[in-house]
Amino acid sequence: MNEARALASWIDAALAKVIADVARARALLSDAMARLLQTFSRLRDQLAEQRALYEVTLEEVNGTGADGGLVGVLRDVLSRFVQDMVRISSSSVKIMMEVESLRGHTSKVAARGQQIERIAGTTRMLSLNARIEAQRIGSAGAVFRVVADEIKVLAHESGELSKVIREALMVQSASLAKTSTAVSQLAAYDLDHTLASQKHLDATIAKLAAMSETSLEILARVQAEADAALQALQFEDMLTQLLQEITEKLQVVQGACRSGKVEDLTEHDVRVRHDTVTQHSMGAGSVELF
Amino acid sequence: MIQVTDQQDTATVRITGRFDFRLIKDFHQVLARSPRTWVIDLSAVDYVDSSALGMLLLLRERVQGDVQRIRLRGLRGQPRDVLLMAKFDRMFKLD
Repeated sequence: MNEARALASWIDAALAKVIADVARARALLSDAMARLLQTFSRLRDQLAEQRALYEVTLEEVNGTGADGGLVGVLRDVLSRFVQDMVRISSSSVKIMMEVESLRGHTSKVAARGQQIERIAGTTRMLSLNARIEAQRIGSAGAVFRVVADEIKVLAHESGELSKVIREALMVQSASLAKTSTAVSQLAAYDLDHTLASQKHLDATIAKLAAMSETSLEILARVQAEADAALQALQFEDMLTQLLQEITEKLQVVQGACRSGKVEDLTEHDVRVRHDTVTQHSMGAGSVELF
Repeated sequence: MIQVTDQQDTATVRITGRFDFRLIKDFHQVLARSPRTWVIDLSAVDYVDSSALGMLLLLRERVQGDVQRIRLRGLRGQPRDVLLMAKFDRMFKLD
């Protein structure tokens, strides 16, 4: 009898320790679960915030409706650049054509100048011959000699003047050639680089669109996972309830040990069997306890 | 290189190789003509620079912007890409 009481006393003490451990486990579990829930909840909020930010950024990049966004601005800049280059080229080509026409006219005028110089040379020769003839006929040709001298002077001056004009025209022609070369540099712009930039921009936009789609899908999946995790973490209630029941059972056994009445234990055992928790798994959305 | 074939009221201008600033003088001579319709054959052109676009715009000015009087034929490769980038499909009739 004494041995039975000693055993009951030992079981009582052991149960008290177990009950205390279970209470500590409940506290630890409760604390950990609270932190886990808080963390997952924050994670879900941050994911939602990240997704919203991402969507806003995408809108700013791609634009919405009439607003073309950053992509639209870049396309517009490229397009304006090309239009400006074409306009500059068109004007430059026109200037070059005009300059070439001017050079053609200058060459023609210079050629006429050469003709004038030849005529002046011939006139000089004629005036010289006329002077010789006037000299030969003596005093009767004195007047003709004066006229011949004047013609010679005029021929010389016109020849010299023509030479000066022709030389000036040659200088002008050279200057026009230089102008034409300078303008040709404005007219000729290699558009390959611009074309490559546009193709690169198009490729980047396509890549960005694909990446955005994938990123949004990934974010949605992570959000769904976080939601599922939050739901799964609700097993705390189930565990708490189980631990509570374990404690109660242990307390019943403890009570029986203390009172020495086995019938108390039997009655309670029957009652507890009907209250047993029926949840055995944490399938999503199927927590039967709540 | 530029070759021109005049047939009735149409001048067919065939350009070969690079259509760039080096052809400005030749193109200027081509513009001295006054046909009703211009056909610019670019099927043998493998490169254009901005001056080529400028020359085509001058031709457009020459016909007072009447796009029905100019046909750009045989565009391909880089010349096609550049002309489309410059939105020439809105200013010319592309075959």
